Amino acid sequence: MPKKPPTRKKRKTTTKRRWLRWLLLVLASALISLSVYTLYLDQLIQKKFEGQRWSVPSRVYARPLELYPQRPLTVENLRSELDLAGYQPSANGLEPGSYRHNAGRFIISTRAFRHWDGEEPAHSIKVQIQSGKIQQLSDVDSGRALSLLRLKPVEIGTINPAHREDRILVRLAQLPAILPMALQAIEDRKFARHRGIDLQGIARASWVNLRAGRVVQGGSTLTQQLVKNFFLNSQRTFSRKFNEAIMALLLESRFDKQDILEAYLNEVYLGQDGNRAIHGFGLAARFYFNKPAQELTLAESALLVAIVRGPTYYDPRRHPQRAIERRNQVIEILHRDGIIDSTQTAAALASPLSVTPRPNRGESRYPAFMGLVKQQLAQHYRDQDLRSEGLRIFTTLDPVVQQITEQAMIKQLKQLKQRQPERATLEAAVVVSRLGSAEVSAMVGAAKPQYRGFNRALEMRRPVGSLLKPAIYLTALAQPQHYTLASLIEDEEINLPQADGSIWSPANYDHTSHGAIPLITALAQSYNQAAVKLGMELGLRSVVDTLQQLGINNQIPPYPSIMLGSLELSPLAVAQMYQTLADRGYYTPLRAVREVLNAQHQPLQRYALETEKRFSPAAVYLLNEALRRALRQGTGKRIGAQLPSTLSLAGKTGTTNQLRDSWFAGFGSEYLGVVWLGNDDNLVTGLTGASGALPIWAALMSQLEGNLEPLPAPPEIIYKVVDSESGLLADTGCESRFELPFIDGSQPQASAPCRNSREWGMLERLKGWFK
Amino acid sequence: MRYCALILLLTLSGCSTLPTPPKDQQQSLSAADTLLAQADTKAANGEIQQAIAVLERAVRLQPRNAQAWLRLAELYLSQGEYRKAEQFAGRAEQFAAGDRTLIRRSKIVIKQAHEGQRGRD
Repeated sequence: MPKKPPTRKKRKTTTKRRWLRWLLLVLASALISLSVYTLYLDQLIQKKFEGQRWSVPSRVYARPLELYPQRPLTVENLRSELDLAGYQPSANGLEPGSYRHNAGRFIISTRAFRHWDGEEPAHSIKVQIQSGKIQQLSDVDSGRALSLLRLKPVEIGTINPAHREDRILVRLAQLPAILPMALQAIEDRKFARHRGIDLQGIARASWVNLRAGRVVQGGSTLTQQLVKNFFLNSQRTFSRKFNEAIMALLLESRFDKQDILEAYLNEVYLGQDGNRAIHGFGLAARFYFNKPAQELTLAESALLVAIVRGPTYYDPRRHPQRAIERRNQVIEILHRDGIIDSTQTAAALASPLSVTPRPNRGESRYPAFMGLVKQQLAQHYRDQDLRSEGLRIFTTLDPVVQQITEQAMIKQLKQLKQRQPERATLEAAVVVSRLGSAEVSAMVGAAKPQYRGFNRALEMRRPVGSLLKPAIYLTALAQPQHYTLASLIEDEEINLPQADGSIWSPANYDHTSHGAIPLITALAQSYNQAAVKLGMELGLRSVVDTLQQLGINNQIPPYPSIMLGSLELSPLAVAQMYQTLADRGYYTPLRAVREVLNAQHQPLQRYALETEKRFSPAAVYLLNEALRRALRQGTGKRIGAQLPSTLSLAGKTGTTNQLRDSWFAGFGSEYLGVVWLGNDDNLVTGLTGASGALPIWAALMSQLEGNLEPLPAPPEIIYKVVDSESGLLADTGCESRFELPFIDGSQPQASAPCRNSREWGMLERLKGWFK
Repeated sequence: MRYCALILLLTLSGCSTLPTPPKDQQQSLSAADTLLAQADTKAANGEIQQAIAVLERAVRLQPRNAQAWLRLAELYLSQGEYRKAEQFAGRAEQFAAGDRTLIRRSKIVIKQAHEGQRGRD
């Protein structure tokens, strides 16, 4: 039997019920999805808020300046160090981060700093400098003499996250109390009382905006602003507002006010430095005032709070008038709210903006050196970690040495370019390192040192010319039974058949051959034919071996032409090679990084000093003696002879075919320097090593080197007077003689026939008359 | 065993350095000496890596401070790092400038490092 169709009324109620059921279902599912969504947002918030909240760039520091009595240090160098480190001159020098200077007497109030091996507390110190030395060092408070202390190192750059946000994290407790108070007074008066959103505030803002017909006032709480910056994009859509409100409520329910405020203080965007975004008050204090946030004054704090509303619009460097007006509004609100008294208000209103004139460039003022730092770190760290983990990287850069290096180079380049305008494109690279520790003190990679592109000191490879010759001569001198500085070397025409059937016939720079000459003269005068002759005698393989022992890691092609420097090396590689000579046969890898601390200031890694004996110190001593004469009497004479005789300097010129590259590499008692000049397109420069690179090196070394005594000769070294023609022991009759060092036992045994030879010469002449 | 060697070395190094100066003279300790003393304290507390770092700081201040190089060599020896011990002792000898005690101690480290290396082979 068919079912009876429902009546109309009944059908109506069923439809109603069905609707109701649907509605309930929709509502329930909406509620469920909202709860699920809220749970999801909650997870999101917790995950981000409890984990590492920000990718923090790694900060890179120069070497800390060590102060101790008797340290060589000029007044100018100490002042530039203090300026670079952001110390402010003041009347008494007693506020942290300030100094006073008067005729060599400094009072410096240092800032506390956590070094790799411990905390250096803040103190006020008295430093007295006289005749280029620290004469006295004492603590101002106790009056006690101090034997040693370190200044906080200058920050030289950051390794930024990919999104270019930079920040220095600060704890709420570290900030001057006025700063968070001012922030609340301006941005969110009810922060302490609301639960994430301020309905009254929203209503008021809506009313104001409605009347104005545009958005003039924001009703967002600090919590909402934080949520917006932290989790959401900046679109003004309803859904975003909705999310923002829920998340603000969630955030407040999960975390306490102090936590939220601290996060806000670190998150907020406060300015722009090129493509680097300045976030948080920690970095803003550095960026605008070049000081730590702890040291912000009332007026400075008010300015930073004023900027929050519009970092571009109120940029104190670009729009000082706007910025100061808004800052003063902030100060007046603080006064109105009873946070500061009238005296404070008047003083703050009267104070200038006092922002530093130029932003302290984040990326680095020292791009070449930073390149080296990154290269060294790349061996142990992933790029991503360097950009996000907030590491603190302690390097070997000496900002004062760097400054001297840059100035010496710029001055010489200017002169060279003035003399010949076609040298306008001349490029340069310099590496300076310290003897003993082999730490790189300075590096320049371009004629414009702040240029961020091609780093010639590190990435460029050029033929080194005669810079290579010491490797040949060291190979010889390491065999004292066969070679001494007095050994005669044939400087004569030489023809070497090449693999391709051609003949290689190297010529000397002056296009003459000099016959049999002592080894030391051959090197000091940099004769090509003698060098190749000696090299072939020793065997190419052993010369290549010496190069590798000196620290050249590159593949070295076994062609005879490498002996005249067809081998292409970077200035850094040349520095490594000469470092082994400067350290008397001990190979010590050049380093740019000392230590790495993690974001919690815990030691992560230390790059320990390494050293390895590769050559007999006595053999290297002989070679260095030849390099000393090369500078003073040989190819470097024109400049070298003028350098103060108190400096113990040695070095070698390098010039490549048709004067394309101009090199000089050499060292004193404390520093080593390598200078290269040339054109990127390899065009002729018209410069020899002596006329181009050497003057820069000389200017550099005469400023860097103190009057440290030369290191005494190794015990097996003895000195003998030798006849320069025969290389034999000289007697009084010899016209041209010089004193040379020998490894004891290797000195010539026979005497030169000087007296005889003169008589013999006379005989010859007599014979001539009778012919 | 390692600790015995360390203690022995510390005693040895204690012998050849000057006795601790009286209180009023302590302030005139040179910077390098201050660091050497610091390193000794750290080494005695077993903080070897810290002691090495302090000695490297001394080498930075005075690259020719033979004492600093020698202490580094001795610490490496105590750690069984014989190759490093030998090399650093070589540097100490290089800078000894005729100081007989120092040369003798460097030679002892080199000899012990050789023995250690041989023992390992």
